[in-house]
Amino acid sequence: MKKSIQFIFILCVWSCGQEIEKPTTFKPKVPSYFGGILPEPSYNKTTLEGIALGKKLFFDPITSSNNLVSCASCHHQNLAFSDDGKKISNAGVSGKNLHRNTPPLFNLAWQTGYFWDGGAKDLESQVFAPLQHPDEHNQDLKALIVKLQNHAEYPKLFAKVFNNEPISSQNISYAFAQYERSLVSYKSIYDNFLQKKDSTIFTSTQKKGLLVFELHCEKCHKYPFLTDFLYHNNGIDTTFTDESDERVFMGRFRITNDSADLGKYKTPSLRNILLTAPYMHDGRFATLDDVFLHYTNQIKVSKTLDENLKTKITLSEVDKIALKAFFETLTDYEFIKNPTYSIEK
Amino acid sequence: MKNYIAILATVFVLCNCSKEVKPKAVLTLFSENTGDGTTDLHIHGSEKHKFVTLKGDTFTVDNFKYYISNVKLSNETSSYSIPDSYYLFGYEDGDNLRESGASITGIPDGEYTKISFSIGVDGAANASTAKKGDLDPNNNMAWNWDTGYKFVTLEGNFLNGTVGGITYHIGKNENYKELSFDLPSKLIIQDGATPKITLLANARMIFSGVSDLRLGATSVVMGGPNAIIAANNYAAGMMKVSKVVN
Repeated sequence: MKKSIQFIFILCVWSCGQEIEKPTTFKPKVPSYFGGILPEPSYNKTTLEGIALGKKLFFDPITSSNNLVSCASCHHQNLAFSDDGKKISNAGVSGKNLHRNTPPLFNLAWQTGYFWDGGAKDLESQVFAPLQHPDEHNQDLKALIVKLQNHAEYPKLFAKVFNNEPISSQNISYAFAQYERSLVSYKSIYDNFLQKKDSTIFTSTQKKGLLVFELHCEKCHKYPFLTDFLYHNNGIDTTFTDESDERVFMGRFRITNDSADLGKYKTPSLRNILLTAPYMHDGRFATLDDVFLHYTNQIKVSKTLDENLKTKITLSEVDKIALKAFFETLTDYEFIKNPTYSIEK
Repeated sequence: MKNYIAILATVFVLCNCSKEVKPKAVLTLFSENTGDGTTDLHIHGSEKHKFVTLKGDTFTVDNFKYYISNVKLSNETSSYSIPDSYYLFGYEDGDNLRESGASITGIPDGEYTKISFSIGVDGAANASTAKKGDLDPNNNMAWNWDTGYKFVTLEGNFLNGTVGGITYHIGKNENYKELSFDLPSKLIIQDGATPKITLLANARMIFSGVSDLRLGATSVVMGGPNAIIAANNYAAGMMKVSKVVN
């Protein structure tokens, strides 16, 4: 009888196809002021195995044409996944300088557009740009699929996450996106304040900095993500007529074709701001003092200049010191040391 | 032996996953790629066929690709939208992308007299390029810095005295165009049938039809007002339904 049951079982497996082990659903809790749950698109539900696969790919130079460049070449966890203080990265395959400043990676699940001009409409589609750009990974997608298929570990990992489907551009981007979406930063001193509504957590200088921030910065660097995820011309240039490199110097106009978007770039989050120098979409300001100088004395007027910057901002030396002290409370040390985001070396 | 027969019978009952064997209709959607409505593009070798626009500009074609999507068949009383119908047709690097057309199953039995489809990819599908099949971003039909698909691409050279490159990459939601045609003859869908609908693509109608785009002056179009003109042109005259064979 035992044999017969075994036989039936084998026949069933043979006739119905292989039984697939399902990956583990992952729905992490986030603070109530972040909405309580991590958002995810219906077409790419997060799983633990998906995050792990995305993480492996993120740190793996197999994702570049010369097998030397990974996402982590420019996105360093100890700097909230921004670059190491370089104005503009040249860590890509070609060694050429890029045109834009490497953005930090956290709280991406709440963003509605990726890149400084919001050109990528979801994290999944965003992945293809750095992968394919000749000055970044320079990686042909078909060639990447072949490399991953021939790898000792990847085929099994993809099979588990993606229901035994063959490795595809889609599955590669889904895995990357699951990992990137899992990078959530909410454990700064400022978050402690948001949770407990207790301002005694701040020093008196930090408290003053919070007030200066609320007066001058919070209109765009909005609570709780400290960005409005929108696009503004913050007065760093006067003209936006350079159409070279697929109009990369023209701001969000490049995406919308609307002249009202000339020179507009996405508001970066002020979370982890002390780790993410240099500043601006092209990394032109090396220090926060340069940034303060810009906003107080160097605003350049053009048609699309943001309304909030048309009135002069004045910061005293005390205000600047206080702002910097407040910014210290925005650094999330748990996030930058969190071992679940890194790979063992 | 009896035991084994019993076991086999049990297996079929238990597993219940054998597929139906009834033959279903398979519709082939095919598109002929021409430069001028009659001469096939045949993008092979160094000697390219020369075509002339309605305004008299001479050009050759290296690549010509376009998405046909959201195909719907209808008759007087009913209609059927083919789910997930996104088909990339055309030539790339000399290869006909769909030499034998797209095979479509699942169409309800009946006689159909009209077809509608779109040139391009609808807004919902155009919001992410992390897709499979004909929408796979490795088909060189997706923008990666501005998420979305190129609906129609035409690359080649113009030869009006001077020689220069032609690059037409037309996409963006405003250039998604829905078209509707009476079928030249009835399409009959029934068990076992293998009918074929042949479309005819005419590359030069990107340059004319509603407003003329002159090669030399307007040889590179990748967005903006000229893309809108090109899209109005391709909506007006690039596609035809040439025949139905049941």
